[in-house]
Amino acid sequence: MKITLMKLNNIANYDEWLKVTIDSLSLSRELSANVLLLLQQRDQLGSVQIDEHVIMPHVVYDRLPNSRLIVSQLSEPIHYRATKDITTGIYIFSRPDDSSISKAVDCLTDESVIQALQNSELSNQQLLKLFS
Amino acid sequence: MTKSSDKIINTLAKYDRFVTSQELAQIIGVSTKTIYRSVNEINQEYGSPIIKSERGKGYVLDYGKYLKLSGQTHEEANLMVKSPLERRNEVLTTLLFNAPLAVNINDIYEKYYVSAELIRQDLVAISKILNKNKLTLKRNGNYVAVKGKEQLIRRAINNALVQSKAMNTESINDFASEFEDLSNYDNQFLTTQIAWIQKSLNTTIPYPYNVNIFSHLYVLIKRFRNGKVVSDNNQIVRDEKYRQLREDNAKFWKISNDVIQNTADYIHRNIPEIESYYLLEYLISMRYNHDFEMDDSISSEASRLADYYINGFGLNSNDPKVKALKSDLISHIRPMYNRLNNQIVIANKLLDDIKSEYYELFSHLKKLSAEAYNNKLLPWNISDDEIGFLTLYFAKYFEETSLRKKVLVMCASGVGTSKLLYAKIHRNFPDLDLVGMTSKNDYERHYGMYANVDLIVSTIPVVPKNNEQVILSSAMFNTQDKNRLSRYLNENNINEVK
Repeated sequence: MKITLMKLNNIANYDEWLKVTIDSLSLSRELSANVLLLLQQRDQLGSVQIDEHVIMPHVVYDRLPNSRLIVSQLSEPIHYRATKDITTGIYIFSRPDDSSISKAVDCLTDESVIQALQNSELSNQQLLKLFS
Repeated sequence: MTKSSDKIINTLAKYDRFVTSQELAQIIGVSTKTIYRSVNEINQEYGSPIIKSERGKGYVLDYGKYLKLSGQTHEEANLMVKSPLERRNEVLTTLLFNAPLAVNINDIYEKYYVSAELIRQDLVAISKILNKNKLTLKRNGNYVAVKGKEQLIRRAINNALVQSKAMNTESINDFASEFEDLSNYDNQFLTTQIAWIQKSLNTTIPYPYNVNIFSHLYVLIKRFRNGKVVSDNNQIVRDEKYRQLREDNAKFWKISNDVIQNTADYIHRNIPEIESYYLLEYLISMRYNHDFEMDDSISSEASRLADYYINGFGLNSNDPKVKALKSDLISHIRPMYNRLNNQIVIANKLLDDIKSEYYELFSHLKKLSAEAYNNKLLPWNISDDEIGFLTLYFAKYFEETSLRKKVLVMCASGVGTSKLLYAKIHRNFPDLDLVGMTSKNDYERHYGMYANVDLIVSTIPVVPKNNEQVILSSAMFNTQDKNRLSRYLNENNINEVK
């Protein structure tokens, strides 16, 4: 599983954020469209907000070449459902039964990790340390 | 506008800074939920937000806008929001404090700007309230006076203060701020007396006893200053009951005598000895009882009543948790008997929250209490405030026992939000039996594996396949989610045992 940090400017809304993040996976057009659809379907079922300013869009999909976890920070907050100021997204693209993803989510149960992931000074190195 | 709304505006005007909802809730004596709801109502009512909120900082009053929109001064706005009940209560309190001296009606009603007919109606209502307290309202032209025994006057004042909810504040400071006519000197004097009692007993006087004693002394000072206290001192002091009380509680007696003497010196009046007995009754009604013996007959009555309540819920009296509940109940009921015996009224500042949070429990205890009164197990019909206190003991018991329920946590994938939710539930309800996490698909395919589950907490909608209950929760597991789970655990347990 690969863990990446993405710092984004000028993201206007949640839809654009999803698209930009999925594009960063460099998947085929068909796979990208499927992943987007799965994320949207998950959203329709219920909120993926996990903290005051944090959402965790996630999919489990067997056609993914490998699992990825992307921590995405926005310079400007966006609206997500009833919340106006979401600034951090923890995007999880997982292959089925991937224990490394499961371990990474275990790390997220620690509230201090969630806090650290929202720090705008966060570096790639620090990010990897948080999930190690 | 509600009284809470009025208090919120007044408090924010007074502080002139950001005040957090927790602070506001504490000052006003309501829940943060009520604060949130009231602020919304206030802003809607003014048609423009006069109270601004900022994340992490709380609420602040835009005073300029408030004045402009209310179109009057702050003080005038205060008068506008007085309900007839509040007005009547204030007039009643004034009359009681001045009893048996007559007061000019026009002087009392001057500030309310009400018609002569309304004044007449008020006085009829006040007269009825007084009659219930075995007191009478005498009218002579424009002058009215309350007549009756001092003890009954004092009791009626206490009831009026409880009704005004002035006693629904937890700390002495908040309580003192409820009374505009309480000078700094009086406040300081009364606070010092409470501190002195605490020091002498080497303990902290818990709520609501701190507020009760403060209120008792406040009423005492006002009665001696404004009214004319006539007490049949000699007759009562000789009474066997008081002699016994004094002997049994020598330490408390000394303290109460000293406090009354301090008060007499402070207001430059002679205060009869009977006042020391009244204060003594308050002191021995306090919950802590490690340094004085309770009457054995009270203990056995308390035990019988505790059993009655426990049976009323169909609980097994041999269960260790029920035994602990009984012990808690007895230690609450003993001072409660003492309070009721001495007609000491206490307010329960959490009553509204208790009623909304534990409605079923409260209603059942109310029914049981009425039955206990009819069956002569309880010599008094106890107030909602007292039932509220009892409710908390049962709520604690049911919360603890409900943790035996088997709970399954669910989300769409079984690895995302359910994992976080699982950890958060475990952190907040550490004793709850969490049997695992699963995805909705997995559950629907293998539901037979989860036949022993009582409850599913899920971040997505799911139709239960067995007999489980389902609670939808956000992955944040915020206060509403916690309350919903807590309420479910309580209500289901109560329904099971009733």
